[in-house]
Amino acid sequence: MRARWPLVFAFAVLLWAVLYPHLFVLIDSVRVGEVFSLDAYRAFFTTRAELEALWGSLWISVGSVILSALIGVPLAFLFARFEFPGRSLFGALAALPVLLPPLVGVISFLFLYGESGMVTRSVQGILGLETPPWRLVGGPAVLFVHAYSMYVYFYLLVSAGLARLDASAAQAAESLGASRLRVLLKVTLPMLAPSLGAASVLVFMSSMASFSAPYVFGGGFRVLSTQIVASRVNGEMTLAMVETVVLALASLAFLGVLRRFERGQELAAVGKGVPAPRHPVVSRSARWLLPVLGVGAVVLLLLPHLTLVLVSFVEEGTWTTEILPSQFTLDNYGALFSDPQLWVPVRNSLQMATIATAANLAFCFLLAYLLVRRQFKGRGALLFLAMLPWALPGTVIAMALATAFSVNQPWFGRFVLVGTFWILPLAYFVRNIPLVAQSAMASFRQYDFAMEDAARGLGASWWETTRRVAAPLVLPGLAAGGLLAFVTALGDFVSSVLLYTFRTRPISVEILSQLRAFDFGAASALGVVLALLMTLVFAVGGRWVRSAAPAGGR
Amino acid sequence: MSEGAVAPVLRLARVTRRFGEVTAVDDLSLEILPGEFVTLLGPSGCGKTTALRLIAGFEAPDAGTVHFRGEDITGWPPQRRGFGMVFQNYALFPHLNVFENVAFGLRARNVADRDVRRRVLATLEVVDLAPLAERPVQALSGGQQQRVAVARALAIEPPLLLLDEPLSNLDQALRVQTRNDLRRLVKELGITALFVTHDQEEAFDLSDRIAVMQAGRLRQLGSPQTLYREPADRFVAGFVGRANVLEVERVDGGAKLAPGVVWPVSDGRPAASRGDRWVLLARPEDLDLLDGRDAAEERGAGVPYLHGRVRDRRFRGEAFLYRVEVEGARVSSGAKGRASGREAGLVEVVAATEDLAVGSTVRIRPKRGARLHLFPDVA
Repeated sequence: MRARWPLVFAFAVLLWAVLYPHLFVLIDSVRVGEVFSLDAYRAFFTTRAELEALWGSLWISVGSVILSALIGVPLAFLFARFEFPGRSLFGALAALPVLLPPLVGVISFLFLYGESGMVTRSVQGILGLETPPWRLVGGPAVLFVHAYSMYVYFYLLVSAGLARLDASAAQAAESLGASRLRVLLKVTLPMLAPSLGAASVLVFMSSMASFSAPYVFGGGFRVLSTQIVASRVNGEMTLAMVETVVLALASLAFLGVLRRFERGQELAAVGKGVPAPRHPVVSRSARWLLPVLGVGAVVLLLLPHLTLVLVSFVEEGTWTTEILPSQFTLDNYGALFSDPQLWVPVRNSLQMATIATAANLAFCFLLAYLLVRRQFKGRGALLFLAMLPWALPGTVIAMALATAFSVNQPWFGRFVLVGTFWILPLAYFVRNIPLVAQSAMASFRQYDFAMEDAARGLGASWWETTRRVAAPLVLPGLAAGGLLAFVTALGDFVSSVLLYTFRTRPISVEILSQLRAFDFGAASALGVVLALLMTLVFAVGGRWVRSAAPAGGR
Repeated sequence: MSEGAVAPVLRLARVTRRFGEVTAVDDLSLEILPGEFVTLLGPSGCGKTTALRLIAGFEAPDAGTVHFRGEDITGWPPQRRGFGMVFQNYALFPHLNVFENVAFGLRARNVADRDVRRRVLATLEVVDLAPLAERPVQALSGGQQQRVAVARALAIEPPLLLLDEPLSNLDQALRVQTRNDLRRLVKELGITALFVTHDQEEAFDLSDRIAVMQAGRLRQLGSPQTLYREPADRFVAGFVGRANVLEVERVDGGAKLAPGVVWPVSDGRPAASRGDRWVLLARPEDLDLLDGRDAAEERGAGVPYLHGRVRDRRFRGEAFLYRVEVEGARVSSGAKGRASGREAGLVEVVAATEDLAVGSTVRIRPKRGARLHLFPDVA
C-alpha cells in the first residue's frame, strides 16, 4: 500500500489555493451585506458602461488573436521555410519580445506612436501637418498594441510546430496532385492546429487580462479588466466581484470553444518524421522581396524595444518637442542603485519570484509524479484543479486571492495575507502551477521507469539511482518549466497591480508609477533592467537546461 | 512503339544531383517500361532515395533530364507529375481518417463526390481495409497504416507508382506478408512501379529488373537472375546474395588461390584492367565440400581442392551452411561497401551433408559448371 499523504496534500493545496478563493468571488458577487441578492448582476447587465466593457474585452481579445496570427504565422513560415541571408539572426530576434512583459512593450509604444512619439512626429513633419496624423487612443489603439506585442506567441509556437512537422505529409499531398495552396490549407495548417490553438489561447487569455494597454491607450474605451480595478478603487466591491465572475465565465466559454475545435487532434506524426527542407528562394523578385519583407517586419516589431533602450538614456526633462531626444545620460541607471525608491522594486521582484518558483518546483514535482505514475480515483479532478489557473485571466485569480485572504478565519483556512509580503508570491505560485506541472508531467512521461529498475538491478542504491538516473533525466524538463515560471513571475503585472502594497511593489508596478509621474527615463531604465534580468535568467538557466538535456533527450 | 519496341514510360538521362560536396546521384540513366516493376537497390546513402525523389519531383537535378511518356518533365512540380508515392514513414495525414486520406488525391482533382466515394471504397477493398474506412489513421496498426498509404497512392490511378522503402517499418513476419500482398496487387493491376530498398531479398522477390546503386552511381541493371549469375563487378557480386571473396593471382586458365590450386573462371570477365590484385567471387552453393581423408582422389584429374577445417556449421533448412578455415588461400571479409557478418579467412559452403563435424578436415572445390567470377580488387 502506498502512502496516501502525498495525494491528500496535493489535493489540499490545490483546493485551498486554486478553487477555494474563487468561491468567495462567487459568494461575494451575490451578497450584499449578509443578504443574498442578484442586484449586482442586474446592475451589471443593465448598465451600458458595463456591457460596453464586456463587449470591449471580447472583441479586443478575438481581434488580438486574429491580428497576432496574421503577423506571427506568416513570419514563422517565412523564417522556417526559406533560406536567405540573415535568416537565422532575424529569425531569433523575432522571438525576443517573448522575454518582455507586455507592459514594457506598451510604454515604448507611447514613445513611438503616441501623440508626441517619434514616428508620429516624423510623419507629421514630413507631411507638414498641423496636428498629429493619428491619435493612439481607444479600441483600435489597444488592438494595435496587443497585436504588436502578442504576435510572438504565434511566431514561437508555429515555428516550433513547423520544426516538428513531418514534411513527408505535405510531399505526399503534392505527389497526389494537390496545389501548393491546397497543401497549405488542407494539410499543413490542420497539422499545425495544436500550435495554432495553443497560441490562440495564450493570446486570448493575455488580452482578456490585459490591463496596461487599455489603461494607457484606452482613453474612454472600457474593458473588464480595467473596469474591475476601477470598481474596486471606487469601493463598489460587489460590482467588482460580478465583473470578475463575468470575466472568468467569458474566458472559460471561449476556452471551451477552442478546446472543441482542437479536440482529438493529438497530431503526433504517424511514424517517424522528416524535417521540411528549407527552400532557397528561386524567383528573382522574391529573392529580394522576401528577406526585405522578413527583416523589415522584424525591425518594425523590435522598434519599441529599441526605443525603450534609447529612452532609458534620455536625461529627464530634456526631450520635449524634438522628434528624437538629443541629450543622453547614465543618470537613470545610476538612480536605480542610489535611489532605494527604484532599487526596492527590483529586489522585491527577485525575492518574490524566487520564493514562488521554488514552491512551484517542489509542489509540481510531487503533483506531476502523482498524475503520471499513480492510478487513483479523482485523478481527473486533480488534473482539472492543476490546470484551472491556466483557464482564468490573471485579474480573476488576483481578485479571488484578494477576497479570500483579506479575512482572518484560521479555522476556515483564511488568513490576512492582503497587505503582507506573502500575497504576491502566493499569486505567482497559483498562476504558474499549470505551466510548471505540465513541463514536469512531460518529463515524467518521457522518463522510462524501467531504467530505475535497471539501475537498482545493477546494484545502485536508492539514492544513487535518484541522483544518477532519475534526476539527470527528469530535472531538465522541470527546470525549463521553472525558468519560465520565474521569468513570468518576475515580469508579472496583471495580478500584481491588484495585490501589491507600497512596500512590496514589484518592478512592473513601479514602471507604471514612474510613467504616471512622467519620468520616462526611469520607467524605461526599469523596463530595460527587467528585460536584462529575464535575458540573464534564460542565458544562464537555458544553458544549464541544454547541457543537461542530452542525457534526457530522446 | 511503331517498330514493336515498347516505348519506356519513364526515362532518366544522365541525371546528377549534388548536395554541397556530396554527389548523391551521379550520371544516372535508366528506363522503365510499361507494367514493369523496377527496384533501386543499394546500401544506405547510395542515392537511391534521392533518385526516387528526383523522379517524384521533390528534388531538381543539377544535370540531366527526366522524360515521362516522351515528354520532358524535368522542371515539373510534383503536383503536375501525379505519380503516386508511398513513403517510408507512410506520411499519412493525421488529421484525416482512412477514407479522407485515400480520397485526398481525388478531391485535389475535383472528382465529383459520388465518384470519390465509389473509387475510395473500391481502392480500400483492394487493400482489405474497407471496414476501417471511418477510423482515424492513428488507430491503425503499422501494417494497416502501410496499406492506407498504398491505397492513397493507388486511388489516383497513377501512371507510375513510387515506393520508398515502404516495408522497412514493419516487423519481419508482417513484412513478408505485406510484400506478397504488394506483389499480387501490382501484378493484378498491371501497375508500373519503381521501388526503393536496401533489402535484396525484397528486391529479388518483387522486381522484374533491379538497378544496383552504389555511391550515387548505377552499378548494374538487370533481372534478379542476371545480377546473381552475371554480376558486373565485385560490388554487385558481393551485395546481391552471399559470396566468398578470395584474393587470387590471375593466371592462364583461371585464378590461382594457393600454390598449385588454380580454379577455372567463367569467361567474359574484364581482361582490360591491368591491376595485379584480383579477387575471385564464389557463391557458397557453387562449391563442393568433401571430407579430407580420401587422398587417392586428390591425385586424379579435375580441379584441385582447397584444404581446410570446419569452423562451424549452421542448419539452414534445405542444407547446412559450413564455414571452413582454409589453408594457403587468402579470404577477404566480403564485398567492400557492405557490412558483412562474415569473418576474414572463412569460406562458406552450402552442403546437404550432415556428416562433417566441427573441427574435421575437409576439401573444397567448385562444382562442375559453377560460375566463378574474377574481378580486379577495387571497390
